[in-house]
Amino acid sequence: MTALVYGPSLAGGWVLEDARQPVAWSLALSPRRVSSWVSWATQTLFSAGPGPARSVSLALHLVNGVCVALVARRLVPAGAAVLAMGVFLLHPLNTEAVAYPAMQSELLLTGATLAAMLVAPRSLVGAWGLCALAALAKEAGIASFLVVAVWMTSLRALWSWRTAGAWLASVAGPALLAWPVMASLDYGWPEMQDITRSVTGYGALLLKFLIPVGLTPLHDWWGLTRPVAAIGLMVAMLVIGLTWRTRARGGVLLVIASLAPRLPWWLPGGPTEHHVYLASAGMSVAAAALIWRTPERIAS
Amino acid sequence: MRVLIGALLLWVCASGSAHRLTAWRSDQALLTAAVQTTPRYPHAALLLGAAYVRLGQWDAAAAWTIRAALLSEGRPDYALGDSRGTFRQAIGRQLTWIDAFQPVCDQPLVQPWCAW
Repeated sequence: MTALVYGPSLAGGWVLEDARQPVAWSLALSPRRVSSWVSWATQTLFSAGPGPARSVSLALHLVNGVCVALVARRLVPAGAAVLAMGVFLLHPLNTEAVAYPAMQSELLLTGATLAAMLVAPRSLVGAWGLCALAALAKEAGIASFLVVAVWMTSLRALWSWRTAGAWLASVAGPALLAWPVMASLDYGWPEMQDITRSVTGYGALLLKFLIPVGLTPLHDWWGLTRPVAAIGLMVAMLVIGLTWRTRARGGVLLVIASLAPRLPWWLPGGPTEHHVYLASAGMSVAAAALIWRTPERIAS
Repeated sequence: MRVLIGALLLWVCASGSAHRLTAWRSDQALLTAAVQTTPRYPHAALLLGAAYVRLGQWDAAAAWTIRAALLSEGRPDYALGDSRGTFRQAIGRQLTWIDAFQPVCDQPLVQPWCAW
């Protein structure tokens, strides 16, 4: 069904930042090496046109959907896991990440993160390698280490907090090295007003998971003034507070973990929908779990 | 019951995605949809003007570039420092390029922007 929905878009051309990608796809110099390698392989094996790039993005999305189902199956019944996969694959919020070839790095980091969540109970080294792969797909992929830590402690209860601490300490070194790189890019050093704007901006995007209207790659964040951002931050704190003692706590923590590296900075142009692609995986699972239990609640 | 609800949800999602994906086929389609969603966003209008420049549709390119300039005039976030300078340079470059193919900079309203 996903292939049917996305099929017509495979004939599309390059859009927006796609035209700049061949310059950015330097295999040796790009911090997004994994994404560069995938792009190079696509161009080498097929052609440098938009069709193969879009096809590879769709294939990655389908693989990610299967991973979502496998991850969800650890938490919910099989039917709900399939529903979670379907929601993730078909939700309009994810069309930007899939139909926009320049955002293939987001698909790769999500796939690596989901794979790490599946591998972690069996192999710490394997999970660490997959998380490193996610970080090499896109710098924000460093969130995968935090996501796996939250997954293994809060949701699967397979790790103690000491184990999670050691896991995160193992990546603290590379993360500290990466921090000045992040600050040296367009973003500069984080400021409190950036953080409040980011929290509110990403919160607004996550709301589009519930009500997918106003989707666009060019959001006008002018209305996100300081007072509005402050209110948004308070709402976010309220949501976290309300869910802290409920079963939804793990899901909320997963969403926060997936967005954590992006929150300190207000990106030029602000956040867009592809930035919440990984978070949408968690929200798909939560939505499916809620819907799957709804008939039981009605009956009772 | 839950299967029906799930199927309905997936159908709604699929319909929404199919509709959204029609915008992702080309720059022109995407940016036309963008200016409909955020009609007062100068960057969207500028990028749509650039898309029409690439298509060689000079009337539309000029119209959207001028609209971008007009929209930016009333925006405090476009009146500050680097963002103002960078955006104005982009407007000026785009209008100058269009002017090479179809005169626009001779209009009194547009002349100041061509000089940006």
